[in-house]
Amino acid sequence: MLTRLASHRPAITGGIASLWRRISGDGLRFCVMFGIWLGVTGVLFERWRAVWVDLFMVPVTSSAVLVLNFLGLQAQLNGLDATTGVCQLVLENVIYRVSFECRGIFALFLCLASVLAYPTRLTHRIKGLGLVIPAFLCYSTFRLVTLGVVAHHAPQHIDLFHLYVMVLVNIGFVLTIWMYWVRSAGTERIPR
Amino acid sequence: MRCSLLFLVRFVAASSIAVCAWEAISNAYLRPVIPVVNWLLTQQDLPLHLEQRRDLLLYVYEPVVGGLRLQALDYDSVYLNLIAVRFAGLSAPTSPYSGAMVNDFHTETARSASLSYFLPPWLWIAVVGLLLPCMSAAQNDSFTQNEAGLTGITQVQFGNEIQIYAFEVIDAADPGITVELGKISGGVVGVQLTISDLTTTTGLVSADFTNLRLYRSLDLFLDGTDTFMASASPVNIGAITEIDPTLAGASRLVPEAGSAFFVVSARISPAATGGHAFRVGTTNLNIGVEESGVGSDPNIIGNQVLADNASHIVLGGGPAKKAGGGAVTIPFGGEKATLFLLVSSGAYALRRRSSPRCPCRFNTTSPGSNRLMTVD
Repeated sequence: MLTRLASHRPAITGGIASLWRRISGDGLRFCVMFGIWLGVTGVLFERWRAVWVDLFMVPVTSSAVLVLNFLGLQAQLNGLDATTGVCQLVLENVIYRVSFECRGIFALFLCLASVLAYPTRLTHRIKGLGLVIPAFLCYSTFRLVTLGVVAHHAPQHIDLFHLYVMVLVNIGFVLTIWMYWVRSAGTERIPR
Repeated sequence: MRCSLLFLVRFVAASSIAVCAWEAISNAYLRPVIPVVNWLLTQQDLPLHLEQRRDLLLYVYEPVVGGLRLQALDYDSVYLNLIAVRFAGLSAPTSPYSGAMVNDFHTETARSASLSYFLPPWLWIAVVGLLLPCMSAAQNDSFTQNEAGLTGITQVQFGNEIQIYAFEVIDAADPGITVELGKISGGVVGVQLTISDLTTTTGLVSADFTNLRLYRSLDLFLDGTDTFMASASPVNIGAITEIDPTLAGASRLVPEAGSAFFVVSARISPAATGGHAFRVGTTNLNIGVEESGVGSDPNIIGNQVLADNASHIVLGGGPAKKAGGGAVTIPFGGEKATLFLLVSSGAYALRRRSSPRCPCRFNTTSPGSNRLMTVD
């Protein structure tokens, strides 16, 4: 029995090694790095909230107000808190309370962590950041504008839109931009 | 002789041209000049403006204090016309700036009540303008200032109360006259204001309001120190709602040579509909005051506050009726699903890249053959 086991020992150890290689391959490394980068972005966010307000929240909300006004809808920004970033997007008959999470900043962090964690060339990651950040700025603005238009034309459907429709669109947007980048990254060799 | 004739001909020709030019131009130059002058006067906050009546130039002095209107006509002789309540024999104006008042100037009634002097109108404007505050104080002892409607867009929750209008009544320091807010009879009894829906209607109805309330205040802001005076219900939408304070006792009294603040609030019905919004406006002369000592003719004061879409109050939290109101929060949503999909799709993409020939690496017969990742 032992002899038979001993004869199979190289196969067992090889299988374990192979399994380990598989587990500790790019997938695991990606997951671990994803967690690390997510933590880094979280720390950066908590430490410099005011900077995020200036760099992300104010541009997104102000742009949304500008676009809504351009579309002929009365919108204005009220009570922007420079620390928490919370403000009120005031429309004709609806007031939206807009916070960090409303502008999709946490989805942005997820996407950034994915791009930074994905094993590819540094230049490609930089390209990814250059793609993801402006795309999120535009999309977050588009989302607020869309909710503003809904508030004006179909205020009774606000809940339907922001709880269901826009959530699906959000996921679709993030996945689309992510898969687009990953597909382009897939043609490159992975640095070890 | 020849020189003299030549001079005569030139003189006649030149003067003819000048006369023709004068006839041609006449007062047409006033058309562009008057708006410019009026604009400048407005910029300087001067209660004076020019009006063109046919070929005449009318100097109009409209003092802020009282209901007097001083008009002077730039003509052969200067007519000085004081149009005031009980002063020039004219009826009390419904509005100090109405077209009827200007037309009165051309009526014989006005002319007979006018004084005629051969003095430049601007001089009369200057001289009488200096005297006018004293004269007007003798006629009306009160006026308002600091009328404040809504500013910006705010939100009020169902069942709550929110300030919508405030004003200050000034006693113009005539010791013979006691000023009290509200008057017993005639026209504007108390405080009139108009609640209206936005231009793009939100469906505002009278039932959205419990009532409007009037307070005596220490300032222009509603707070716990204010004294309740009166209320009005139902609240009219798109029409005047009047609050009658005549039973409010001592709260009505404006201190001699001082001022009193009053605040109007709207109490929102607990059963109001979220998303409804309203504006507030007032007309000119929307506040009635009693001026004892002036006789039986009480005063009407107040300046216009325009209802504006840009300044309104939204009821509740939005069109979806939410308990207690509050702004609608719009979280991005889908972060958990996004997290799962990003990680799983990333890992899957890496596996695909590692084994491009076989998407499922566990089906490969040779474990080593699926690792095409190269070492740089």
